[in-house]
Amino acid sequence: MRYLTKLIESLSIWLIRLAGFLLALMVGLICIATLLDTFGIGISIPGTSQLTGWLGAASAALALGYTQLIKGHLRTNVVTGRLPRIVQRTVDALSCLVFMFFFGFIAGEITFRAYSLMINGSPAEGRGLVLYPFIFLMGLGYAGLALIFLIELWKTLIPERSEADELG
Amino acid sequence: MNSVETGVWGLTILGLAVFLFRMPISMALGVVGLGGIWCLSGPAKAMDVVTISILDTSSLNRMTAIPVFVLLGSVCFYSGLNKRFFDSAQKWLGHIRGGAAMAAVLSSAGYSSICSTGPAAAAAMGAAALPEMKQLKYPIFLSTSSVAGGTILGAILPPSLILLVIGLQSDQSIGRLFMGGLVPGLILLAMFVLIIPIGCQDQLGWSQVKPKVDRIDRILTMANWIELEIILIVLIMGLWFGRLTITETGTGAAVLVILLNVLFRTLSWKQFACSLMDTVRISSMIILLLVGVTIFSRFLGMTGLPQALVRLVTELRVPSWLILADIGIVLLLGGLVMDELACLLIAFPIFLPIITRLGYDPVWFSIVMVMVSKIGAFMPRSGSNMLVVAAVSRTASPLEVFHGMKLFFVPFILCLIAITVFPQVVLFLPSFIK
Repeated sequence: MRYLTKLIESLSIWLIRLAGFLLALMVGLICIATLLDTFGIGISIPGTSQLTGWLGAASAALALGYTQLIKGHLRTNVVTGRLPRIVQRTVDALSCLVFMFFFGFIAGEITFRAYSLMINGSPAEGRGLVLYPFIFLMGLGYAGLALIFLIELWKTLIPERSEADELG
Repeated sequence: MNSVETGVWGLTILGLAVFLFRMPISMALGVVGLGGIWCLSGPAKAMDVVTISILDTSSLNRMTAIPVFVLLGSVCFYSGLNKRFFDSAQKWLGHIRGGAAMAAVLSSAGYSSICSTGPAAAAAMGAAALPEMKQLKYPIFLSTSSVAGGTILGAILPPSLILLVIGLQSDQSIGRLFMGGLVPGLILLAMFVLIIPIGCQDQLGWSQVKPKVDRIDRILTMANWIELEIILIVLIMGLWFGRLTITETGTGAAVLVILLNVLFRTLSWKQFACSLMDTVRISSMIILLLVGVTIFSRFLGMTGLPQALVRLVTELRVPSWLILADIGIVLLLGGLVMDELACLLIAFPIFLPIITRLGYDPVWFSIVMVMVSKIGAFMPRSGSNMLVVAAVSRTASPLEVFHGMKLFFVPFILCLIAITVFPQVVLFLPSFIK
């Protein structure tokens, strides 16, 4: 399991790097399109707004796993912080399990939709825009998040040795 | 159980998931929303609604404004704007008694309006301003609270990320929201700066002042915070004249700030890469929160709870200010126990239809509610900026910072009352936006 944990963690780091690249691409594209359309010679690149939207969506989805890895999603600690440790662990394990299935299903659904688009095409693709790779990337991002919950569940159920000693 | 009751149960379970199960708020919203739709329309429809909500919400072109503005703040963070900003403000105010604390308020407010997260701004400004104020023998409660107090104003002063996200979620004009926050933000800033020499005369007795800087040098020092000047010019040009969208405005400002920092070698490639990583991390957190709110709102919409609330409020025949006060109390309590952004995003889909029905302006309501939810930032347990500044100072306890924050609490409440009683303070500038 330790190797799997390392593998998933490095996967989430690679995914956030890819997200950063997509973000830079999105900013560059918006910049060029604005310069050409508003300040330039009035040329508008068709589909730019749609493309930048999907670039942003893929970038955000790819960063989800790493954000969870460093506990970057907003949560509140008003009540649970005062509960006995064993209750906290049970609660944490339960929520990890729920989220693992939730995001796993979502990743599956999104990937299925991307696959359908790839096979059948979409109205946007009629205008020369290929959107399914971005949707595949979104599916990958959500799958990465589900995998992070898998290792969190593992860590909650089987604590590290030092932590286990502390728990008695 | 009818559908409205299902909606009430959904809200109760959401509360349990967030507070008892300590679930991340965005994910709890998604899971409870899915469960609710499942109960009302079956599993196939529920999965369909959730997947479509995720794909549609996150790929909206308007959503690209979020990473763009976060990138802007992140680049400013890595380029060391915090230090330059404080040094510049010091040169203008350092020769006055209490001037360093006033400079800390001024620079913290300006910096946190650009920086995407309050605690990050508090950490950066604390690192820049606290050692200098320690050297000048400022009392620790004043030096720490002036940084923490200043960073609170970042939620109201444009380009505030909270206002941007609220605007995107509730489909309001971002330009009007930014302009709506400008006047109250500037009034608060002036009050926070002026309260220091007025309210701390006795405590400032031992503190030192800096020698007065020549006027030319002071004017030249404004080049130190050229990023903020660029952002303000681009924002005003883009939004006021209505030529650019909010994403284009943010991108223009971000690209100019990046180019300028690369040109002056204040931003290395490594720092740029780090700012990109931070941006995607923060943006993914915000976008997932918006996705969660969308799923939960669709569930609430299916239950008919918001409409039932509107009907109930209309039939109650109580004064509208009383309903507004009730909503304020809910948001105040919400701001005490959770992050104000999450609290506002959960509350807006429920309360905005009521407010619109009562005839209030959504821009005014948004600014008032952001300020109400920010009251939690003055409290010792919930004020994350205070805790961060205390940690950065290494010598101050959170209670000492809290003691200092009392100084800024009175002007904050006075300003909140003023803008509630006189909405024109907020609505004057937005009326000029095309």
